[in-house]
Formats: sequence, C-alpha cells, structure tokens
Amino acid sequence: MANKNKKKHWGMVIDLTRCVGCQTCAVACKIKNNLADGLWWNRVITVGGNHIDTAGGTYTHPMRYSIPLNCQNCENPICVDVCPTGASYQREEDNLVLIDYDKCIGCRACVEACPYGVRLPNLKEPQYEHYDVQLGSDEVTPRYQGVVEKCTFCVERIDQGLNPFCIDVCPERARFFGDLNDEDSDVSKLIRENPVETLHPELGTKPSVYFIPPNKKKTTRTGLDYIK
Amino acid sequence: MSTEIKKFSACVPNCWMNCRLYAHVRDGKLVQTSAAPFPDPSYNRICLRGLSHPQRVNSKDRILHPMKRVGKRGENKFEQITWDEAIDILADNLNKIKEKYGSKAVAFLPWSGSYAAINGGMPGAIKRFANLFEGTVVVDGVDFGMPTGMSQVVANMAGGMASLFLGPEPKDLSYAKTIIFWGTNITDSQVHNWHFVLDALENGAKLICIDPRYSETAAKSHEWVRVRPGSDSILALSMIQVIIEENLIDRDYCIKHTVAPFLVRQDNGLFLRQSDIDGSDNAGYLTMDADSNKLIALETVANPALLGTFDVTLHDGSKLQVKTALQMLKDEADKYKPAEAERLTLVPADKIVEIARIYATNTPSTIYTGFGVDRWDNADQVGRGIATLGVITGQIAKKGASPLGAMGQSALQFTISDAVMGPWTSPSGTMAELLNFVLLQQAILTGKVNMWEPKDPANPLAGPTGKEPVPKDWPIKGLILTTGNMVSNHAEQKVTIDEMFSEDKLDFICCIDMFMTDTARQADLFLPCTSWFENDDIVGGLHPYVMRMEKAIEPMGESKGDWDIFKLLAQKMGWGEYFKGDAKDQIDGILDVLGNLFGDHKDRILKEFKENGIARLSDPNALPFADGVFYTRTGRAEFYSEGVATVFPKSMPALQLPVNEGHNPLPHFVPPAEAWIDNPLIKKYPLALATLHTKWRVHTTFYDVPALREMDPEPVVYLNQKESSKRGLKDGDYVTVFNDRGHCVVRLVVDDSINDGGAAIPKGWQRHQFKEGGYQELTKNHINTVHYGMSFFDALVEVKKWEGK
Repeated sequence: MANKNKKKHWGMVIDLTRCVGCQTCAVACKIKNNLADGLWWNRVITVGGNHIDTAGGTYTHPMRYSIPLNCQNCENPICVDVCPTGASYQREEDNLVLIDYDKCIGCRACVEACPYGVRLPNLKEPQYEHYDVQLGSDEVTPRYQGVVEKCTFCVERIDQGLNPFCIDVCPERARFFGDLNDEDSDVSKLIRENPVETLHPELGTKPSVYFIPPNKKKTTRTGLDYIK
Repeated sequence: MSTEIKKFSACVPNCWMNCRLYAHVRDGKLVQTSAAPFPDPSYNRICLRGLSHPQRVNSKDRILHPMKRVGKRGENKFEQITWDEAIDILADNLNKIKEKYGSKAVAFLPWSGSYAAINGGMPGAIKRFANLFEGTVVVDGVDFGMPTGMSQVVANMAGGMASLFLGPEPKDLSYAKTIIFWGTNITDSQVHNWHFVLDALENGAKLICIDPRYSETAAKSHEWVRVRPGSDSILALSMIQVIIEENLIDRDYCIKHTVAPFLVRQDNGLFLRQSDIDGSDNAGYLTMDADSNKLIALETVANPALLGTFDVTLHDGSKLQVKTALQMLKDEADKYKPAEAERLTLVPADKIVEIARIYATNTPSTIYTGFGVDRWDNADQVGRGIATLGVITGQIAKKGASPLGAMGQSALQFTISDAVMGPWTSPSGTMAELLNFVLLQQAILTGKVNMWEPKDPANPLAGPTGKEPVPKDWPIKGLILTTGNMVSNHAEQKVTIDEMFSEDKLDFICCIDMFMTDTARQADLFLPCTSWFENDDIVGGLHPYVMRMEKAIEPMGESKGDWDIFKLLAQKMGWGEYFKGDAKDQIDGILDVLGNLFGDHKDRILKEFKENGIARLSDPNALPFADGVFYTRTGRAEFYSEGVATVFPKSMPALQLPVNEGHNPLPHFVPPAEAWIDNPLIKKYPLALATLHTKWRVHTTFYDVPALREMDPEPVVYLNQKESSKRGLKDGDYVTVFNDRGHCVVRLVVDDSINDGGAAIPKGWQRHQFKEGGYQELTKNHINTVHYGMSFFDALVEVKKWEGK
C-alpha cells in the first residue's frame, strides 16, 4: 500500500525489447531542456557494430539493439560523494540526484567519477550556432560556462506530477517512470514481472534505471497508452 | 508554471504519419512541439523529427525574403527583392510563356513535402491556381511501382495507387498472428506503426522480415530473410507455388471472390464466356463443374474446378483448350519452385517453404509492404505477387489480415486530393492537364511526351490505339515548384541539373521553400514559405482522422503560406475572385467536400471537427472488400487479368492494356532494368545501390536540423566487410561511389548488415553537404509504361578510395 508520507524513490524501466533506437527520447530531451550544441543528456547507444545503427555478430548471424542512456539517478551516487562543494546533491524526499549550478565550480571531479558518462561540463559558453531562440520549457534552469549539467529526470515536470518528457514521447511505449517505493507503480510491477538488469551493478551505485534486456521474453506488462 | 501557450498543429511531411502536435509558443516564437491527443490515444505520437521543429523553424538558414537570381542559373547567387517585385516577375514570366507556347507550357509541381490541403500539395493552393491558369500539373511518378501491381489484383478499374487506400488502418496490425515486413524498415521509416506490431507480438504473433539488409526491423523480427535485391517477385511466386502445391489455398475464398475458377482461353488469353460457346450476346463467365465435367455459368455450381486444362468446342465448331485461372497462376509459379527460387533470390529453399506455410496457416496474416520493393522497374510484379498471396489464402479484408499493408483506408490524406476536391481545386471549371512526373524529363528535353493513346477516350477499357505509347507535343518552358525538392529527388541528377534545368530548356523556374535546397539553388525566383506552424490548414494522415492545424505563430520574416502567395498571383492575373479570404476560410469548404465521400458519416464528421478540431473519418469496423467484391473488371480479385491498368494518361476507369496484345495477365518475373546478375554491366559496376529512407530525414525534409546533424553529421555509404576488403577499403575512408551517370564522395561505414553485392546510402542529403557530387547522380529514370514509377534502386555502382582531401 502506498504511504503518502513514505519517501519516494523515482526510477525508470526501459524495455529494450520494445526500444528500436529511434532517438526520439534523445531529441525530446535536447529541445525540452534547450541543450546547447554538442550536449546530450540522453543518448541512445547502439549495441552491435562500431557506429550508430550498425550490426555486430556475423554476416549470417548479425545482432543489434539499442540502449537509451541518461542519468541513472543512483541510490549511491558517486558524483555526490566526490563533489567538493555540495553542488551535486541528492534530494531528501525522492532520492533525485541534482546539481545546484550556483555551487558548482566546474572542477569536473564528478564527470570523471560517473561510470555512466552522463555528466557534461561547460568548458565554454553554451553555443547555439543555428538559432537565437531559447527553446523548450522556461522552467528549466539555463546553464552557463563553468558548470556541469546532466539529465534531471525533468525535475520541473515531476514536481508538477508529470512524467519526464522522454517517458511521454517514446513511440514504442518502451519507457516507464514512477516511484520504486510504491509497489503498485508501473515500474515496480515491471521490475517484479521481468528479468530486469541495471548498468554496472558491480560498482555499487545502485542505479534507479532498470532495463528489460532485448533477448528476454516478457511475461506481462503494464503501462499502456497514456499521456498525462 | 510555464508561460507557454499551446496550439493544435501537425507535422505533415512525406512519412505519412501526419502526427497531431501541440505547438508551444512563448513570446510569439515556437519553442517546443509535443504530441497532441487523438480521440483514440493509441494514435498519440511524435518522433525525433517532429520534435526538432523549433530548431528548424527558428533556423538562421531559413530564407525569409523573396529572392531573385543574379548571375547564371545554378550559381546560387540571389538578391533580395520585395513581394511586389516577386509577383510581377512571376506573372510576367507566366504570361510570356503562355503567349509564346501556350499555358500548358507552364508546369506546376506540388509534391509530397507537405500534405496540408491548403498551403501544402494535397491538393494545395498551387493546384487551384494551376487549374485557373490551365497549365500542366505534374503528378504521380514516385511510389507507383508496387502499389500499381497491388491495384492490378484488387482494384484495376482505378489502378495506380488505389491499393494503398484499400487496406485496414495501422491499428489492425495488432490483430495479426503473422506479419511479414517486405521491403520496409518500419521501425525507422514509419516508427509510429511499430507499437501496434508490439501489441501483436504480445499476443503471440510471428514476425518475418524480408530485406536484403539486416535492418532494425529485421533485428526485432523472429525471422529475417535476406533476399537478393530485385528478386522479390520470384520469392512471391515461389511462395505462391508452395501454397498451391501443398493445397494451402483458401478454397472457398478462391471460388467465391477470385478469378480462380474462371477459364482462360489458350488462344487469346481472355476469359471464356457463354457467347464464345453459343454465339449469343450473353457475355457471362463460364467455369468447369468438377463433378459433371460440364461447362456451366459462374456461381451456379458449388464445386467448380480450380485447377485443370480442358477442351471446349466454340460456337463455330472449332476446338479450344482452356485452363482455369488458378492453373495459369500455378503454371507461372511452377517456374519458381523453391530450389530454383533459391538460386535466383539467395533465399534457402526450405526457408521459402517455411514462410509460405506460416503465412498461409498461422493466420490472420498481414504483409506490410514498403517502398523498398517499389524502387524497381519490375516493382509492379512484386505488388501483384504479394496481393495474390493475400487473395488466394483469403488473408484479406479480415481483422489482422491484409496483403495491402497497414496503410489502407487511413491513408486518407490522399482523399483530400484534386481527384475528389473538384469544385475546390477547379473553382472556375477550367482544368490544368496532368503530366506524369517521370515523363517531365521528356517534355522538357524534347517538347514531346510518349503517351498511350486511348482508342476511345470515353471508354478506357477499350485499350490503347497501338502496342506502344505515341509521341504527343508537350513543350514545358516554365516550372513552378512547391512542397518538394525535385532536383534532389528526381533520378539522374546530372541530367536534371545540366539539361532539364538549363537556361536553353526552361525559360523560368520559381521555387517556393523555406531553405536553399538543391532545387532552390537552381531557381530564378525564390519565394519564402511558411512552416506548418505559421498557417491555418486541414489535413488527414496515416491514421483515420482529419484534423485542423491552427496558426500558432505569425509567418516569420516575410514568409507566406502558399494560399497567400497564389492569392497575390491570382489577383495580379485577374483571378482574384477565386482567392478570397484567408487559408482559414477555406477549411469548412474543404471539409464539406471531404465529408461527402463518407456518406452517413458526414454529419458526425462535421460536428466532431467543429467541436474538437479533429474527426474520425471512417467506421473503425468497416474493412474495404469485406463484402468480397473487388474494384476490378470482373468484380473479383484478379491475380489473372484481361487488361493491365496503366497509370498514365490518368482516367477512371484506368486505361487497360489488353493481354491479347502481349501484356502479361499474371504476376511474373521481369529482370530489373539495370541491377541484375544477367546484366553485363555488373562486371563494371558490381554493387546494387539502395538509397535508404532513414530516421534522420523524411526524404530531404529535415536535411539541415542541427540536433539531427549532430548524430548523423555527413553522407555515408554502407558496405559490408567482404566488399570493403575486396576494394582495399577500411571503415572511415572517404570513397567515391560512381557509375557512368555520375558520382559522390562519402565516408565509408563498414557494416555486415549490408548484403554482398550491395551498397547503401541514406538519402536526403543536399549536394552542398557532399565533398563532391551527390547520390542522386547515380540513379536512372527507367520509364515503365505500366506503372510509371521512378526506379531509384535499379542502379549499379562501384566504390573506390577517394584520392581527394
């Protein structure tokens, strides 16, 4: 039974049997958060050949699949541990790992420490070579030279009871978001019912993003069409 | 809270998905797009391109003022002018050409870059103007190969693209137990139909993907069938062979709804009729009663012979052999038994048998066919073969079963076309002449077009005057282009640029666009148009809805929607009365005409549209052909036909090429025009080129979007490891892809997804994005006088290391 006073733990489940590497979630994030040239908070990685959308395996038995990769919102975030100023912090009420840009000194210890490579430094002023308009939501805090940035699980949206934008846009309905502490949430059900995996479990970061592997058959699923 | 406001709009390029979107506006600028709800939320969608519009609409590279060419055509030197000057130039040139050569000498080319009904090309303000001017409107020519073949089986009275609108809506995919993806990579090119496939998968569906390349769709299917490019009609015939041989046909469906029991005269290939036997004027069809061995009128006996050869006596006493139509099909298919088909298609014989059996028995079965099999001179035979598979197994017009793909009745943006818009597209009653796109090259270069000439224009079923098309005068001296990029998308690009668009062939070229595309750079006059978010409009889509597009932001710079552009021109040339008001004022009129197509649904459609800005057009439970009656000459599914419907000249019914004058009544194999193993040219150019539809662009739309170029920065060619090593090439090398028609320089990506003997270049790049040349130089405009479809993949190339920098 979900307890209103119980601490939330936001997490995601990404179903790799459904993900086709369409890059919609990557571009959604790029626009929504007005990411500067060259910066991606969410990338969809091809597992297969050496380049995006190429196959591994052999000529007669090729293979490929895709893994969307954004901040894993670890329960034990190394980036928070190594941050000298406390700019990288974990929110008390819901475990969300965020960056306070005002406190960030751009030392990049977190960039080196993150095993998932999802933290991005701004060595220069953010560039927007091709247009002059601030894109996306004006509730998203702009970043600037000197600070590190990363996926925030769309904190402005989830604080209003919405999903992160990448969840809503997925054409294959492969991305799910919810409270891992609520056993009735979509994500909790999916984790119970499927052989899920996390990235680099051996490092002890305890990521909050769970993947349903591409070659495993699923039993049941929840979370049909919805847009909040 | 965010300060954005949201308006309903849509993204409507040539992916056909036509997603309903919210345009998010802040301070009068488009800052975001997101999916807007459909009444059926399973159609809610947006993709990476639809999300990229804020970058595209606000791009500094957008041309926001009318421009006039200075210097030579194609030098890409322009100077800014006013709209008054631009309209003057446009009107002057139209009048000059009309005076010297006739109004038909101005060709208007609306295309598929926008499906919006008023400011786009379907039908578009441009067609309305063209009909007033009595010019030429260029139509069809691309995407017609495979659908024409399918129409031949299910709808040859209409012919052409009709088959694409006669399948179920995409949601129907979720009910299939077997889905064969044939020549399509829908995870990339029609991404929004894939989640319906996932629904089917959850219900235990089997997915089979037929593709020379290991695509994402192949990766997500249970079975991937690597087929030799250009051999798909052999594969279809071989599957037909197995299905007939193993008695896996739906006998009842064949008897009632196909031409299977018809008898084919072996002297002239026509169906045997009562009049042949008794000399009367009773033209009723005859079948052979399998029980009594007697000739009997169609539909009067429960057990007609489906296979067999018989002797009959005609009314003049002479003897004639006849065969059932199914026997004719079997005889043709027997040429491609699995062992022989394996030799030609490279698909193992046991795999052919396996997928034929699965298709026929693990039902309901759907074949989702894409344009990968369309880009060939022999594409119509593939369409005929695939449609035949569906009708002989009864896998058509049932929930979860269609050989016509999941495009079908929901591809209704086309119904908002000049074919049915009538009074809206030709408000004064005068009409432009329609010229097929693949023949535009002939018209411009020679002033003549080779066209079938109907014996009797009032009766196209009577066929043409002769065995070949005949030359007709058709000088084209001016080109008005919108919603498209023909210099990029027309085969044989060097001929297009150096010859068709040369100053001694075309007196005047006007291009309406947002960016300096390949085509825009060849123009004399460039008119800046608006994006989808800067106009009111109405549009359908690859879903069952018609929807309103609301103007979300003001036209940027001096850009104008096509309605406003042609309104200015019409006013200048004396037709202002036909262009009153704004685009917004046209919506109700268009909806009214559209509603007439849907009979009893009209009132509901108008009401829903008025209240919600979106209305479902058709009955979700109504499947075309559910009554078993086909739109063919016999009323039955015709895997064997007495006439082959040709696409041009356009008529209703379609002009029929008679089978007793040498046109083939059955699906059969025709070797590709160029890219085939028997062509000696293959020694010089051993690789069959495919110019792929990928997720990064829709044809050439989105060619310049920053976010997409970050992930996909430059043109590439894919070769597998074996073909690369053979040529001393390694991953990352810059290479020249070339043949006798031209070349391009691209970066090599080594990828074993690609077939031996194949090279793949994702399409849509503009010439200025290449180090040298462009991929479209490599293709050829083979003219097929049945389907008139441009056959881009029917091209051979070679690849070598590039020595430049």
